[in-house]
Amino acid sequence: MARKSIRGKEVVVVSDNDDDDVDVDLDENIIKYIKPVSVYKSLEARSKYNPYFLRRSLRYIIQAKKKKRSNSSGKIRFNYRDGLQLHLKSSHDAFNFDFYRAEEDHGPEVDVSVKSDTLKYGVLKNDVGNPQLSPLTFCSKHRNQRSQRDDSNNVKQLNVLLMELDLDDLPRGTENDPTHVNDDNVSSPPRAHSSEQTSDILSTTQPAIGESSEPKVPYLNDDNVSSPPRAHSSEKNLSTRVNDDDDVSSPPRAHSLEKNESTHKASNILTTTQPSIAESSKPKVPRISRRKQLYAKRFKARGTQPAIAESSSEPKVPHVNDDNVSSTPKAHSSEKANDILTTTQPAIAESSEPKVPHVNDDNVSSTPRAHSSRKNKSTRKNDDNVSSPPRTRSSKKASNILTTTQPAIAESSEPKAAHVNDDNVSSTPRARSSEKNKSTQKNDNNVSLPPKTRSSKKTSDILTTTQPAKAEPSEPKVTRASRRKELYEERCEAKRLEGLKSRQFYHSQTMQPMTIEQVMSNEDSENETDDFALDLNERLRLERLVGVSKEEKRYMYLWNIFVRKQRVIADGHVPWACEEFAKLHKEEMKNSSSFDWWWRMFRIKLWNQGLICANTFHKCTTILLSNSDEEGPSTSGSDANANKQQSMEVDAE
Amino acid sequence: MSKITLGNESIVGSLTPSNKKSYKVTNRIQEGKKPLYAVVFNFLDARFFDVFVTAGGNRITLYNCLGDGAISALQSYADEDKEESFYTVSWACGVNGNPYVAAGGVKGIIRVIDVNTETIHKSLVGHGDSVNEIRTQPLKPQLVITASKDESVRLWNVETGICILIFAGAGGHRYEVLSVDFHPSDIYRFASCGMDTTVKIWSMKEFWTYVEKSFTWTDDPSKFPTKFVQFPVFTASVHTNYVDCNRWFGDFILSKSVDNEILLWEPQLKENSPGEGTSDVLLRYPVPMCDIWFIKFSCDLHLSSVAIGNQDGKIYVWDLKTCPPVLITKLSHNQSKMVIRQTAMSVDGSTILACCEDGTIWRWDVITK
Repeated sequence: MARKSIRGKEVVVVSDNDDDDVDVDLDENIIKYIKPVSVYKSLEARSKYNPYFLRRSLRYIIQAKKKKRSNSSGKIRFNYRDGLQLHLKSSHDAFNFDFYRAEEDHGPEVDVSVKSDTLKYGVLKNDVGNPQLSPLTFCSKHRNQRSQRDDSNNVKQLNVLLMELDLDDLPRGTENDPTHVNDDNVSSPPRAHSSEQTSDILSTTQPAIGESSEPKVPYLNDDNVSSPPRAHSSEKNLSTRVNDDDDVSSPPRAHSLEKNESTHKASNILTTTQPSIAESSKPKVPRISRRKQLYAKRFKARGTQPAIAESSSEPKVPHVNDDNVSSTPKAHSSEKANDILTTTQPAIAESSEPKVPHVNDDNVSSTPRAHSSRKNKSTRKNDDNVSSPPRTRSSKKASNILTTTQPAIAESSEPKAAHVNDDNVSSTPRARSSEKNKSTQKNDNNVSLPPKTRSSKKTSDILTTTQPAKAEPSEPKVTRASRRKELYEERCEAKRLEGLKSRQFYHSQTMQPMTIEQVMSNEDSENETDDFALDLNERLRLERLVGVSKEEKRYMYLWNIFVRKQRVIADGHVPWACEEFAKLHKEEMKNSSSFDWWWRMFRIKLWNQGLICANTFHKCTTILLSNSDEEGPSTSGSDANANKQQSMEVDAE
Repeated sequence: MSKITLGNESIVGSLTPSNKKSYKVTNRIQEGKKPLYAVVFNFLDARFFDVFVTAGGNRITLYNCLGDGAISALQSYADEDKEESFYTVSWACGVNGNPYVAAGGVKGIIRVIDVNTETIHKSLVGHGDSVNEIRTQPLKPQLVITASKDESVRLWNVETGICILIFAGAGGHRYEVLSVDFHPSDIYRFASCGMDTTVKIWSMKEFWTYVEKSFTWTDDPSKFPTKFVQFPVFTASVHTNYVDCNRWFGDFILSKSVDNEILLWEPQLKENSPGEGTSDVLLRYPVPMCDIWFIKFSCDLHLSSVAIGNQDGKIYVWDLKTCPPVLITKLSHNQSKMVIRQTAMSVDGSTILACCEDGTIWRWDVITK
């Protein structure tokens, strides 16, 4: 341990062997940032299992901060973190925080794993110095060795990557952080800018999360603001990140600010014009994010279609990929809509980021996205510098939550992209072939699912924890006020729940009395989920049609339930859906000529609309013929189809 | 909506009584001051063919019709809420054959009373407004349907206390539902009518699995997957005003509005085409001075005659087996001046009960010559 004086502030630096491969300059900067990041990550992981942990941690922060002022001798400058750290270590020594540099141009990264000694190592090393100059993560040779070992670790690292701050975009912390003297070097406008954007993203993507987020949420935004490290701006990232944390010192204020900012950002992200922002606005919210983490996990596993998932509140994302069609959607169907929302946003952000490696991955499912991501990619670098807003102010819980979840997600996708898709990077063209993307995506999914999930969660934990820590020392007043507000909100929440528990609730549709468990459960009981009832209602609805023949109603019924069950929701799904439908109802088509007729008519309509090509049409027909016992009618049918196909091809040309 | 086929004029009955049968007042009971809205004989259990139940105010009372016009009160239940006013009551059965009485009123809660143990077996909660009629499925007496002011009809399992189906929605009634009745032979079908002037025929055939599930449901009744049936198989606009009582007559329907007559009409459903169909009015049974709503008629078990009271306290007994319609007799008493809300005919039609607005029960017995 050495005591240094950086810009007039005392910092304690712990030298670490693992940092050998990091530049000395970077070391200094890194030191300032690693600590909060590592703490954040450990906190995030911890709070995943214990929703009250964050609240407690914040209290430690406040207490530690007070202690710090009163007793500065022989202690590390930011003893609030120590408080957290001690708490973590004493009660939860599951974290191992490795700092590494995934790629040369990305700057240091932090990998969160389970051992606690690493955490200590990471935390002690850091000090809040100049927040804006160093990237958040750094690469250690220890890490490099590990990264070559297996892909899963790489994936983990990738996850972490996203948590980092964007370079110049995070000029925050100037007012909040007493320690960083270089605030004047950091351009506050960029920070404010980016934080806004981040918050925008956050608010739009996870409003629900935001509400339930803890006071710590504010600094999540800061974390979010920090975009994944980029080559030249790694230092900046780190520094800006730190600044953000500092700025977030007071939870209440942070909450409001973040919320405002996140709303902005969310909208921005949606338009995919500001990848950097989107990226940074995704800190994972530990408390609420259990569900979301599940979703993030799923999202990472799939690795695709963030954009698609965005719009749907259901786990329909997998559809784009043929492989995923049957398995992934179903697998993930159990996940909640919120998760999808949360993950989709970061996904979008991710795709828009100029992260070369994972651009293809993100864009796998959606071809337009590929285009946009490319665009974003190029602009991103600039955006990152500009956009990382000073999240510090955003104090709204909602935004916090959003930010926390999103970075986690972003992280996960990025590291994956970097490592897993190295081959894919060059091979996956930006072209439209969704199949190609799908295949790469699949690989990514298989590889990346487990590690991503874990690491992203951890990183988000760390991020959340580090953020508040940073913010605190810089604005004591804000902290107190925010703390009061937080307590008040907690009391109101408790009162509300008490009131709810004493009432008898009735279901809105059946008007039957409900039990408290039913009321408080997150299950949406107004939608019909029972397949049998949905099928039945569909059939009755079609039966009510006037002027439609019985056979056509039968066909419409079978197609409609197929579409509903298989979640055929995008244009790109239709060719697959046609082939599968043909396979599924082969028998009925063979036995009933009228069914076959309506099926053919429908396919012609689809072709007319451009939803299927002549090739698919032909494939569907051959499916019928493939195991056909009756050669006569089918061959004549196939001839007719062949003729049709030829004519269609001619038309197409 | 159905169309009335042209060219088939309905035949109106003559108001000249044939006096094929005559009745005389054998008893009169004053049951409190509150109007009595319902009186129902027990047609489910042959052991209790002479037992009837009345509903009025916050009270449900069971009586036994004895020979020579005597009536003995068996049991009486009063809702502890004085504001409750029971509008309807029906007999039901438990799975073991024990008789239940299901009563509903302005509060919208249906009380299922086990008359053997004299306790409340279930209280069925769910209707959003007052319950206007409760009818039991004779083929499966644990099922009752209830018509309510909240524009819905609900199917309940009184044994388990589960609301199985709710017949309301886009195709449902658009105003208070005043009367429901199960089809005598088709277990899946029933008819409902209401203030929206329509008579709707519903089928629960597609949802029968849920009905069966309700018998074996062990979880909380409110967790049962109650389904909505939004579309009837047939909607008839036979009347032009509130339709306050409808009963199945085989495959035909007897229904009355507030225009002084009972109609017998045939719903002609189109196979596999719900929503289409025609209604063909066959016969009209005029009932003078019967133009306020909530006056119900009743038939005997074999549907040979129908008895209906009017605002003047008189009872008209029509023969259902004749065409053109023949009025069997008209019952009047100089002290019976109040609105007769509902009549009840015994199994063979030999006893006619009438409950009035002033809380009196009149018993008319046939004069055997």
